[in-house]
Parts: sequence; C-alpha cells; structure tokens
Amino acid sequence: MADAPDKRKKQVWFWLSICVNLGFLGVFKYYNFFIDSFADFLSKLGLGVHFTTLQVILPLGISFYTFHGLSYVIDIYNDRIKPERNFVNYSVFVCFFPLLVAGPIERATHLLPQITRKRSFEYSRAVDGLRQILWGLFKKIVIADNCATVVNEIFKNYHTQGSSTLVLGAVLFAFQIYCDFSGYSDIALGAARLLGIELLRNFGFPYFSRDIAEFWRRWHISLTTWFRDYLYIPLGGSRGNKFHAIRNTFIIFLVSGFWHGANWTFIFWGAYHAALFMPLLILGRNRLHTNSVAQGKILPTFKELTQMFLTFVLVVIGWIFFRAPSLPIAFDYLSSIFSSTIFTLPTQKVTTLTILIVILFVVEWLQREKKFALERFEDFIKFRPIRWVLYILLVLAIIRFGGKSETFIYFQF
Amino acid sequence: MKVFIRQLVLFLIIISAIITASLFFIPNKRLRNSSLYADIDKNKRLDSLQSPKIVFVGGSNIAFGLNSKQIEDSLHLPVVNMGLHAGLGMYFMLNEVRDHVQKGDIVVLSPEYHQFMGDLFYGEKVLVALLFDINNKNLKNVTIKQYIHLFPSIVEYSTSKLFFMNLDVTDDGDGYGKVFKRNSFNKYGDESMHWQFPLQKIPSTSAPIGHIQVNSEILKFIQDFKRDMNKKGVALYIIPPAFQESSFINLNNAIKDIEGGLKDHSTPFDIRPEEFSYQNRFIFNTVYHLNKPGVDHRTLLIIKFLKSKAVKKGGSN
Repeated sequence: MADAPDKRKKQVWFWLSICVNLGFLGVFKYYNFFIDSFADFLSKLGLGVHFTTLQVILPLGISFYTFHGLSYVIDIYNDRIKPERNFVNYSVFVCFFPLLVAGPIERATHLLPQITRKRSFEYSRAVDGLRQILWGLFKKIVIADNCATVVNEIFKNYHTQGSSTLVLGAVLFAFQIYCDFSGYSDIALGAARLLGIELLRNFGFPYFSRDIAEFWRRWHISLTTWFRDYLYIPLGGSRGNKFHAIRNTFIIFLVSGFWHGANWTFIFWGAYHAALFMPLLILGRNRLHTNSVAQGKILPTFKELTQMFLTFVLVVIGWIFFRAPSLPIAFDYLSSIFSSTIFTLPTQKVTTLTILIVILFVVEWLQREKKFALERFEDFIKFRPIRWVLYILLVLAIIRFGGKSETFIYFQF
Repeated sequence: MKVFIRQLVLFLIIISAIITASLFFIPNKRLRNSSLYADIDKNKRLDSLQSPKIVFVGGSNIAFGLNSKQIEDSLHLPVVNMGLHAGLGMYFMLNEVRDHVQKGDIVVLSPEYHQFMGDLFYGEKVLVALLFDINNKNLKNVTIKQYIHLFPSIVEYSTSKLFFMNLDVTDDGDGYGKVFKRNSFNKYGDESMHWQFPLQKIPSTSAPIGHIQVNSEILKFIQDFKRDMNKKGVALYIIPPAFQESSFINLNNAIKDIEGGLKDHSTPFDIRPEEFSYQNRFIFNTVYHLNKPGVDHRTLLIIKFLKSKAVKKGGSN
C-alpha cells in the first residue's frame, strides 16, 4: 500500500486490507448472529427459512488483534507510520503476548517504535511492573473470581431471589467486570513493563467518575480512544452541527457495544450508554470532568460523592444488560429489583468479600491520581519494610482468598 | 538487574518461610471440632480390634451411610467404619488401613464416584489439614508424587491459617452445622448424630455429565491393593456408594464407565450400583449422605451381601 504508485491503487490496497481484517472478525464472531437474526426476521414474516450456522470456536482475543491490524493499516494509509518491513517486528506488534487476548488495544504508532528500539533494563520500571502485576492479580483472583461465584449464582436463579439480592448481584458484577478486566490489563501492562515496553493505559479508576462522559474516559481507554481516532473523527467527529456530533457519538456507542459480542444485550448496553451520554453532549458538559476527582484532597465533597454514586448506579444498571444472557432476562432482572424485598437483607453472605472490596476501594482512592494503584508506591509509603509487609500481605491474600478460577471475561471478545 | 533479581529472590524466600512456618507452627483452631479429628478415634478403634474384623473404607458416603453396630451384631465380627471425607482421596484412605489389617480380616471399600473423576485420588485440602494438624503419623505414607500433587493445597491451607476471615463455609471445618463433628460419630466410627434429625433440605441433584475418562491411576491402585490384601489373606469387597437417585440418573453414563473400568481391572463392584441409588426421602444433606431410614436400608443390604459371602465369626473365607 505504501509503495502504491497512485492514490487510487493505494485506496484499493487499503480497502482490501480493511476487508480482510474485518472479514475474519465477521466470519468468526458475527456470522451466526446475522444469520440467526435474519432467520428470526424472516420467520416473523411467516417465512420459515433454515440457514446453516458455523460451528467453530471463536479464536481467542480475535477482536483485539483485528483492531491492532486495523490500526496498523489505517496509520500507514494516513502516512502516520512507515510500513514495518521486518516480519518479526510486525508479528510481535500484532501478537505481543501480554496483550494478545484481552488488550489493551495498541496502536502501531505507539507500540512498533518501542519494539524496534533497543531496550535496556531499568530497575524502577521493572519494580513498578511487578507491582502492577501484583495489583492486577489481587483484583482478578481475589475480587473478580470471588464476585463471580456470587454473581453467577444470583443471575442463574434471579427469578427466585429477593430484590436486595438482585441489587447485590448487579453491584458485585460491576466489581467483577472491573477487577477482571482492569486486573488483566494491569497484569499485561506490568508484564510488558518488565520487558521495557510501555503499553497504553486501559483504566483510570472508572468508578470514581462524576458523570458518564468521565466514566468513558476512564473505562477501557484503549478501545474508546481507538474508536475516537479511527471511527468518530473520520466520521466527522464533533465538527459540523450538533446533529452530526450526536449521530457520530451514537454510532460509536453502538459499535462499541457490538464489538463486545454478537448479542442484542451488548448493542442495547451501547445504546443505553449513548442515551446517558447524549444530554451531556447536547448541553456541552461532556468534558466537564477531565481531572481526577478531589484532586490534592483526601476526601471528596458531598457533591462529588453524590455525582460518583449516581454515575455508579447508572453504570450498574447498564451492567445488568451486559451480564444477562438475553434482553428479556435483563429487563426481567431489572424489574424484579423494584419490589418490597428491597428492604430485606440479601440471602448471600458476602462479609469478607465486602471487606476485600473496601480494601480495594480505599487503596485505589488514595492512589487515584496515579496510573495504577501501586504506581511509585515508594512515594506513598517511604519506609521499605512497611512496603514489603504490604506486598507480602497481598501475595498471601491472593493465595488465601483466591476464588474459584474463572476465565477472564474479556477473553471472549 | 542483579539488585532486582536479588530482591525478588529475597521476597520469594520470605514468602516461602512464612508459609512453611504457618504450616508447622500455627495451630488451626478452626479445626478443633472438625470431623477430621474423628480420624484419631477411628484409628484407635482399628488398632484395638482383634482379627478377624470388618473394616469399612471410603469417604463420607460410608461415614453417613452405615450402622456398624447392627452389622457387628448380625455377623458377630467387630466392625470399624473408617469412612470420613472424600477429599482425603482413595490413596490415603487405603494406605491408612493397609498395615492394620491381618489375615482373616475383611475390607469393604465404598468409594464415591467422584473419586474416579479428575484428580481427587491423591486428596485435597482436607487431607493437608489432617496430615499437618491432626494426625501427622500418616505423613510417613505420603509419597513425593503425592506431595507434588498436594503442593497447591498445602500452600493454600498454610496461608489460610494466617487469616481469620473466611470466604467459604468449608473453612469453618466442614460447614455442616451440628453434624459431622468429632463428637457426632459413635464408637464404631459411624456419623450417627444425624440419625435423630428430621429430613433436611433436599440436596440439589448433581449436574448431568456424559461419559468420562476414568482416572486409570486409581483403578490400578485398587487392583494392586486387592492383590496385596489377597496375599495377606484379607478379603476385599468393593461396593458402590450410596447416591441420590436423580443424581444417579444424571451420572448414569459416568457410573457405567467407572463400573467398566473396575471390571477391566478385575476389581468389579460386588453389589450393583443401582442397589444403592436412593430416592430423596432416604437422603440427608448431600447426594452421598443417607438419613436414618437410608442407613437402615443400606445396612441390611450390606449384611445380606456379607452373609452371602459366608462372612461369619472366623473371618473371610
């Protein structure tokens, strides 16, 4: 493509690359969804048609490396980078092991130069890498996996549970998915840092967000910015009139939901977040909170606390759609919450899990202005023996409270 | 780089030292009332009985599923019920009695079906608790291979002693409430406290599974054990566990695989598995545990079986 003699040929190569990349994703991930949806549609019209669906295993992390490939092609097309002529370097970029299965979604402009550059060992970076891995393991093994046990039970038998238990299930799923995915990202970033490579930051303490717009600047950052740079801006972004901005934003949220999986629940989840985002966009308040909450202070103000709580509640409602196997079940789950049993105690005992979540919450709150909770921990706790005691406690807690092993949720995407 | 590696190694050494110290020097107070302590009493009885005697071996299906006194009275042979917990693994259970039976004795093995699936054979966390905090004379029977298998459980168990908090009820000892404690066993080794309890909440049925790959190691081990017993003049009978009927239906293919595997190793079930498949009204609190009517029914069947083998005072024939 870079060597194409004229713009037309360059475009041909560009679209060919895009189609090949998206073709794999379409066949493996979305073919059955479209076929089933089309068959459903025809059957509603009274036409009983049977289509053959694919019985293939979805390649691990296909959405992630497809997007790596796309970013590479688009950046070359836009002359942001030169094509990588070394096959090994290119392969490392697409298949770099820490981010192969669940991201962060890297950019060629960011990762390729680091791969080709000579790297040297740096003590402080390696230590930070280990700290990030440790914190990621704590989030995944201790919090996410233990939440999963309770959440799975509640969602499986949601129709027999009281509404307070359903609320608990939804809230714990919020922590499960956060700790599962951000835990993986921490492990990936930490492992890469040990090798002298800095990956894109993927999470910025999203549950400390004061509105949905801030939440999306802090949640799955590498995907959000990918869509911004490679879809939203090419579509026109917020240039032009308000209608275009609203339309483009809606498209981004829908595509983002669809990216997560071939299920109407994900599309609805995307649309739900778009609906929450729209008022902020229309009122021009979507970039109101670009800094860390309560910056330089220990505690937030009452207003900030209320904003964070309300945002969290809205996000939790969205997670019900994300977690439920189908839209009717999600709506049923949500409507079951509104009953008199809301005032009863949940049937699940989660005392220890709650304590562990509080520990997570406190540590992340105190470190919220850093890139991850244990970053430059020596600045926070200066006395090394105390830091070591805390690291040891974390390791022991991971061994002790490690939940039943669960696959990372985002491996399926 | 050197400093980094040195500190990393030091960190790992400290962690290992803490885990090791916890394993050997921190008593596990939560185990005080645990059913696992009954192992000491069962071993005492096993050693005190004169041959010929009948020794029942298995997990909790046999602990909860037998009236040993009735068997003793019917067959006029002393009986000890060594059944305790499936998590101890068949390897430990059989090795525990191996040196304590003599010519003329009868060993009745009743393994849970789940012993044949996966890697329960070498035991899990409860075995670690038993070995390191309750009855460490059994440590001598642990092989290197078993240690390797148990390593994750050892680390997990040892670490659990450092924290007072629990995430799951099994850490409280057993999570069975009043039953399945040391003092809920009678002198024969039967869990008998629950005999007086009314019907419990019916346990959920085991999830259906199809055909399974039976753990060949356990089949070979039982075959070797039988050969050793025969050499000693000890009779070994293998009977199926008591099992909830609906679970039995769900696991039918797997049970057939287990039956076939045992038969192929010349150690078939001596009673058809269907005979010990029980409706919910005979089940106590798990798919393997019988209530008193269930115990009575199963005990009579076992007596009938042993009588058919002409077991009488004088031992096995």
